Amino acid sequence: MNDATTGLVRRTRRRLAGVSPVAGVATVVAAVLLGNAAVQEPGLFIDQAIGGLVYGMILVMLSLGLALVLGLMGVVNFAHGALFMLGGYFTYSAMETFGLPFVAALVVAPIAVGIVGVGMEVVVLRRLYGTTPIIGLLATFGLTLMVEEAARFVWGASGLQPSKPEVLTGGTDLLVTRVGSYRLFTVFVSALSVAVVYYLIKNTDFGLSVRAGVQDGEMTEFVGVNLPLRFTAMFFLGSVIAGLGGALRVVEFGVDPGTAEEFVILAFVVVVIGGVGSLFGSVVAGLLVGWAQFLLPVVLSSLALVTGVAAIEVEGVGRLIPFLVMIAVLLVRPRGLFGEEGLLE
Amino acid sequence: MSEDERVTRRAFLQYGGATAGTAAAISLAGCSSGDGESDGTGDGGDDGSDGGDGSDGGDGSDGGTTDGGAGLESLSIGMVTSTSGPFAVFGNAAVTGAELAIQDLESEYDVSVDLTTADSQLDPSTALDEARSLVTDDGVDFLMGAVSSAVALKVAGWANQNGVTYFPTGAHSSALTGEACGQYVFRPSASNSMLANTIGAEMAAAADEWYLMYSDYTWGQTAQEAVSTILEDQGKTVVGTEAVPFPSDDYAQYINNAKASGAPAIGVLIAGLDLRKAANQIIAKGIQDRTLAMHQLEDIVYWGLDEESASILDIAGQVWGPGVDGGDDFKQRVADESEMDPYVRHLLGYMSADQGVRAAVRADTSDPDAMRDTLEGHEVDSPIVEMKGGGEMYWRAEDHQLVQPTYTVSSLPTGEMSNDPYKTWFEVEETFAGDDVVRSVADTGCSL
Repeated sequence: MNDATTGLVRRTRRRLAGVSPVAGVATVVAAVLLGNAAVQEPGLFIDQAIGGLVYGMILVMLSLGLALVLGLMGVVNFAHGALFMLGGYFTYSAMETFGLPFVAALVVAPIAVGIVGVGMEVVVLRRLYGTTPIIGLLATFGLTLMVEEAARFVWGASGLQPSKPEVLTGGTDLLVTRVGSYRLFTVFVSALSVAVVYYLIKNTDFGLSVRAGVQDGEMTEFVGVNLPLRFTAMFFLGSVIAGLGGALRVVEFGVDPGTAEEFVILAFVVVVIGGVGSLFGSVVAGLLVGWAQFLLPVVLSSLALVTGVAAIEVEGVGRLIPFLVMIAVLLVRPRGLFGEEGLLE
Repeated sequence: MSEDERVTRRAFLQYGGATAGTAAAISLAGCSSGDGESDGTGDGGDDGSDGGDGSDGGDGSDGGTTDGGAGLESLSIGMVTSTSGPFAVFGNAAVTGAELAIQDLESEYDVSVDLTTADSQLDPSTALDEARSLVTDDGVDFLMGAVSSAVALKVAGWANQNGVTYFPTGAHSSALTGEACGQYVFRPSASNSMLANTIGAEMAAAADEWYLMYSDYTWGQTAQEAVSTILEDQGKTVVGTEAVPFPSDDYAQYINNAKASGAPAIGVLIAGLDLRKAANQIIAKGIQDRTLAMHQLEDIVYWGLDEESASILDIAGQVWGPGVDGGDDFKQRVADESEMDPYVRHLLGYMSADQGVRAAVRADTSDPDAMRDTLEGHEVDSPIVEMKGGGEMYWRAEDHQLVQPTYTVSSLPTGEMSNDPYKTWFEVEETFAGDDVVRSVADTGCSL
């Protein structure tokens, strides 16, 4: 055995040392099942793999703001869904009431949501830092109810949807499949948002000071950092991203007062799978859930085809899939995929 | 009018509810081991036998210009429907329709009609609580409403048990006039099986192989079963079905499956405004060239799309729509008095209130048994017949289904779509007599 081979074996052993046997077996089984699906139904497999990637990036957009506020500030922000919903309503009003073009609405609405978020942080959440997470959860749940009822009062109970920009209607041919143009635009904005947020948190003084403040607030303030201002700015950023998610969503699917609750659960699922405190984890989890949601039915139908057991192809399993993924991940790794011990990194 | 009887009925229900609540409170306070009536439903209402004698039933006339109901001075209607959430656009339209009917009925008869609405929140248990409250607290004379079949079935079960007249305004599940039918429930809209029979022949003629996507709850499940049965009876093949969660935030994966099935035709049995999401993603996927059929078209769903996207629809069944030749005044009134263009939910709200009030006027009482007697077998000749474009309409006594005309429609070419004075994007292809599409009594599974 030459040195290169020995090195490779050593590195592989080192990597596998941290992997539980259950995870290893699960990975092998998943690979076999996916391979079977790709062989049995190649066309559908490709369609669903790309569809899952697109949907996964949409989930990333949904959960990014929540991951930021929860991971860095330790606030279990149930109002994330309400901010997301407000992004949709503000975008609708900007476009339909004030006649702004879509691109302008995409800037104005998230900033307006950010301002609402600052109001929430200053009036309510600032008083709750350092308390147990359940207090923040209850407070933000109350805020959610207030925002929902306010939205119902202002915009009514019916669903609202602004017109989609002409250039983003229809589909785009990706050679192997065809995807809605607007969805691709959402993926682009989502990827851009992830990159900007990641840079801000990891590579700027602002991000560093916020992370330092979370770890040791007293010491951080002692060296002259205005921590309340930093936290407010971080909540503003999280709210802007939630608003941006809502703004993107409303044009495709509309918004109604139930939107807040519809998406916040899914966003929490993604953050928990990814691991609280890890932005990278949320990205991976979003993609994982997206792929699972699109590919698991193909895997089951292909398995049913091979084994001849029709019962394997469970119809209507779609809605359960994010939760099944969460259960599976938490069984193997209770902190989530990339989470650190405890609530905060 | 049997005011005393009504009071007795409500007093009984109120007493039942209060008793159950008290029992529950005592049980909790004393930590007793008894299970009491923990849901506090007070469901132990009467058996419906305390009503009138049924001898004062209708004479087969809707009253016309006669000043019916000399002893009936006022009526109150309780309407439990979706005024929030994904079905709000349907529930609110039905409320508008009911309000217009009340205007007309108050002009025609010397009777004051009051409408109280409650939000079902698309939740059967909430709807039941609201319905019970309307009857026991507000003292309404009869109930109407519901968009969701699951909600309607829940309220209908309670109404039948407690002898309360109920018109499930916009629910289409065949079960309501099938195995779950009851003495006091009268469905004013066409059933799923009627709509499936309406569209079945055209679907069978359009393609030999179909892939069916359906909303995974009562309405969608019964629609899928009905459409599948009709297609297979006509020798066609259903190559696959897909139960789609409702509401769903994404239809891409299901549309991928439909595409992969290779079926030349796709039946989209998706409820509510979710159909708009599905249609958008069908277009984005580029499979709109396949034959697309809908079991039940509600125009408003397509109004959320641009005209070109809306023009993808090939075949659909319909209870009514602005394209139907009839009810022009009604359509104009809806357009003038509400923020929505007229569509089927407006008419269903109108029909429910119209038929409920007229039944009470004919019976000269709001007693549920008397209303039932005057509705069963009744040949409708109120203005709703003209609104629906003419044709025979009657309440079938055996299952309480309002037998009525149905339609197949297709989308107009974009150049022929009209937006003024209200949107008309679809045209009627064929009108079906109610008797031609309604299932036989033996097939309903209903025994009254």
